[in-house]
Order: sequence, then structure tokens, then C-alpha cells
Amino acid sequence: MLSILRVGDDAYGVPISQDIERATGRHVAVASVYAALERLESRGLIASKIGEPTAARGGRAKRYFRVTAKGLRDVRLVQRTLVRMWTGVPELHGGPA
Amino acid sequence: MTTLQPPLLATAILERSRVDPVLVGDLVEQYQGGRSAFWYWAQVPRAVASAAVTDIRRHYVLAGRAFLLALIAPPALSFVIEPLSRLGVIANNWLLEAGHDALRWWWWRLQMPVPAIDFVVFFLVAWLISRLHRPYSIAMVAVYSVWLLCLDAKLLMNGPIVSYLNHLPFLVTQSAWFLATTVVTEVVAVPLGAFLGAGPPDANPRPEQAGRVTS
Repeated sequence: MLSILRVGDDAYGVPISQDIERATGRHVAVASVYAALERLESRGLIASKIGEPTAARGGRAKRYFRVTAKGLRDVRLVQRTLVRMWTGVPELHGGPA
Repeated sequence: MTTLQPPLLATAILERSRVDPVLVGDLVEQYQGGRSAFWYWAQVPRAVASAAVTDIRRHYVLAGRAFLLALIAPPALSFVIEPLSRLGVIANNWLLEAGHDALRWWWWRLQMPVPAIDFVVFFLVAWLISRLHRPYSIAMVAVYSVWLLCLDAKLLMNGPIVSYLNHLPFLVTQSAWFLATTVVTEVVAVPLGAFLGAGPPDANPRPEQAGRVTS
């Protein structure tokens, strides 16, 4: 979902996969990315629409994703939860190891 | 400017497996963007497996029907098995009478005509399941493959027991040869039957992939 938000309006399989690879430093299987996107979509956290077929893709269309309002609320909630959990850990702030 | 074409066979496998054309398009685009043929091929089993798992989850009633077919089809194919068995006996007698000892050793070692019968049965069952479950053919044949794997696992577990009782290393026992020939025939016959039964990719498009918009 963060990748979809980062990529913006052009969020389809290729830029989303590349963004995840850049962020994690690991190769990802495009099929795994789609499996995750399907799960998020079935939970109403993201939505998708089919674009126009292009010759560069052998006449196959792109599927564009966007984060829904519910998805955005969930992302913010997870962010707040993580920030709360990260605070007060002395080992992460130069304290005694 | 020429456009780089991804490996044709890999794309054909993806299309015959009814992998989402959007995903195939992404793979083609990445290949044309500089990814290697090895990368493209590596994506194929993942895409096919992922599509199969999704289809089985969505269409579990069809998956149940495919499993039922996998159970009842082999006994129903006895009309194929009997003539092949008779041919096997005729071939064995001919090898004996003609004195082809080396060939006869291999004939006995490979437990012919069992692998040939297996091949025909695996192929026909996979083809039948594939043909009757379009456009979810590959996923439903995957159900059959999992069932075959369970049967192979049983053979694998029985093998060492037989070898222990006969005081022979497992790899030289008939059980090991039987397992090896079974697995090889499965690996060739099942995908062949599945892909031939699935039909051309344009036939029977998936209803859920036709212009899906959820926004």
C-alpha cells in the first residue's frame, strides 16, 4: 500500500514491483505482488481499474491500483501504532546496549 | 526500433495456464525493459502456481469435482489398460523368443508395460480434467497433481520398508525404479494432458478477468 501511495497515479504492477525492490533491496516475484494486491483489494483497502491495452505489452492492458479511504485510514493507524511501539526503546536511541 | 520478444514457449505456458493477462503484460514489459530470459522463465512457475492457488480458493466446488474425477477416472479407463497389458505380454514373449537379452533386461527393469500404461492413464485423466474445467484447467489439474504427489509419497515411504525386508539398498530395489519411472511419466504426461486439454488461450475467457473495475 505504501508503494501504491509512493508511485501515485501510475501505480500498476511494474512500478509497484520496482518500488518494492528498491525499498527492500530484494527481488520480488511479480505474481507474489499481485497475490498481495488481490488480498488487499478483497479487503477493500485498495481498488483497481483496467487501462487501455498497449502494443508494448503485446496488446495487454495495465491494471492501475489506488488506495481507498479505508486503506488510507488503516495505513495511518499502522503508522501511529508502529511509532508508539518504537518510542521508549533505549537500545534504539544510543542508550545502553 | 525492434521490440524484444520474450521467450515464446514461456509466454505460451502463461497464456495456456490462463494467468491474468495483466500480469503477463507486466512480465513482457519488464522483459522489454531489460530483464533477462532467465528472469522471465523464473517468473513462469510462480505466476502459474499463484493463479492456480487463487482459482482453487475461488472455485473450491470445481476443485472438489476435479478431485472426484481424479479418483474415479483411472478405474474407468480399464478399457485402455487391458489392451496395453496384452501388448506388453506379446512384446515380452517376442523379446524372449528373439533372444534380445539386453532389451529384455531393460524391459524387466523398467517394469514395462507399466510406465506406458501409467503414461496413457496420467495423460488421459489430466486431459479430461483440463477439458472439463475450462477456463480453470491448470488449477484443477493442479488438484490432480497434488493427489498424485500424495500417492508418490506413499510409494516413497513403502520403498525403504521393502528394501529393509529384502536386505537391499533402496536405490537398487524394484520399488525405487517403480517410483522413478512413475514420477518421470507423471512429470511428462500430466502437463502435456493439461495444456492440450486447456485449449487455446482465446477460448473460454475468464469471466472475472473481463474488464474488471472495482473503483
